[in-house]
Amino acid sequence: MDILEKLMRVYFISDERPHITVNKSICQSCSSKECLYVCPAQRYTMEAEGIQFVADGCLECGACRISCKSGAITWNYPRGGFGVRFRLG
Amino acid sequence: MVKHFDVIVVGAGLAGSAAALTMSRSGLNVCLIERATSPGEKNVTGGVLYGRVLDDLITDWQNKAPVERWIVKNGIGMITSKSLTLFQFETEDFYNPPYNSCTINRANFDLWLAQQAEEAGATLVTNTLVEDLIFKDGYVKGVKTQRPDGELEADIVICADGVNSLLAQKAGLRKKDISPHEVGIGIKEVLLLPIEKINERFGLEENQGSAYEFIGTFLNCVHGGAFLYTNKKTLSLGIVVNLGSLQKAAVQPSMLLEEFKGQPQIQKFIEGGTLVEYSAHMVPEIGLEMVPKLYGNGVMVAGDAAGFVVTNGFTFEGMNYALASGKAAGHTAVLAMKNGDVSAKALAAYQDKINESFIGKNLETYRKVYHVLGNPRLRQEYPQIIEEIAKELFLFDDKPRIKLAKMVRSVVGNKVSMWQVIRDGIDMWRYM
Repeated sequence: MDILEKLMRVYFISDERPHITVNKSICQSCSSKECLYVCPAQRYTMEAEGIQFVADGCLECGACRISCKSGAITWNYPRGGFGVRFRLG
Repeated sequence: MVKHFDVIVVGAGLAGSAAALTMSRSGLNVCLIERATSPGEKNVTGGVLYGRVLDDLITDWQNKAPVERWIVKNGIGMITSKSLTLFQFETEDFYNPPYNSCTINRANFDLWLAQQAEEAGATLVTNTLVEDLIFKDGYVKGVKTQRPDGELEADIVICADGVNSLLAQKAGLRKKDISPHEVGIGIKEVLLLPIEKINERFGLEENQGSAYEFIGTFLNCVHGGAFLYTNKKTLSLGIVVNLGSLQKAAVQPSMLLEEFKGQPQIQKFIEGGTLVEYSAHMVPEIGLEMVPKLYGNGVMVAGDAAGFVVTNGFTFEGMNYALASGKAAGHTAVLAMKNGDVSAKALAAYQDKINESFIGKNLETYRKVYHVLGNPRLRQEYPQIIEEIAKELFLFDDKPRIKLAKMVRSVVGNKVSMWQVIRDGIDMWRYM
């Protein structure tokens, strides 16, 4: 089962204002790209046009926040009432 | 007009709700703020709750709280790609109340605890993210939320906002942000299974539960471990790996989890389970070295935000530390409000309470355990050595057997030098 199928089992209330923003021009010069593997929801992917990030499906763990050394990530929690809703946790 | 409280608690997790309950009982006007729609919905546990710290907070809690199962079996397993060597402890002493530990679902348990605080008089405000603190004359005087006119004032703010602890930084208590080597990333799956199957596979009756921790070759040298717990109708399983170590290895945690799940003996436990939830959360890992300053003028920090997670190498405890630190912060606030002094000097009593309790003592006792657990041989060579020794002991073929000491020497010698084993042994002896 891949991550997307796993994320289907999780409830999210998505916000039109993403709580995490990525400065892709900084990513271009980043060689380590920790975001590609530390994210448990695999929200960061490498596409032809560079690093892509999708905020929907974020589990709000903060691993990318503290792993990114290049300073490309502006990380906030989602606004109150938005984001992931674990039914069990 | 800005609303004023005696104390604002940020985060309705275990630390926050324990603090709010303690203070409301003593008559303080408390506001408990939670960013989720319902307390617990943002929280994840990768462990069991050693709940006896609740005994003096909620009478008869073991009969009232939404508990999944009471743990009667604890086990530590070493696994290789083929084998499981399990050290399991079960005692009749854990069969009856007061129980030693339990599994819980955070969404249920945290909600219940927050409701206890509410019933005691606390104002619970959900759906509300605290963005910043309000400072006045060197004192924390309240919080800024995202709501319109979202400022709330208080004489004391307790930051119980979890492992990322953004508020502890804003309060100046945590001087620099947490770093990858200080935390673990936990990922977890909850699998639905018929109750009879769970009881049969794990050898349990009715409300009995089991808790297993594993290390082994599936970790691919990444510093961490795996867990498998029984809930009422589900199993919780997952891995917790050090984020710094994961970065060095450059592997996705989900790959390690799949490796763990695919291991043949683990397979037998989880087979046929339907995935009902996938979750992830960080957890403080290195104990005392990452504990920030705990108090300032008008502010205290508790729970994961304070880095209060301790392991002796066999149990991994954080929820009991969260509850206990919440209580300690609550009691400190009650006294400070009574004396009309919320200065750092007055709130230093919180640090004293922590130091005198099991929190401070255990943090000190086990301050170096993570060095021992970081030993890569625990995840590669030692599980393989144990597998080979166990096999030699239990296997019969027509070859003559070799005496234990000689066999162990030859098995170990093939993988690790005796000198190294002795050094690792001394480390464990000293620090665990």
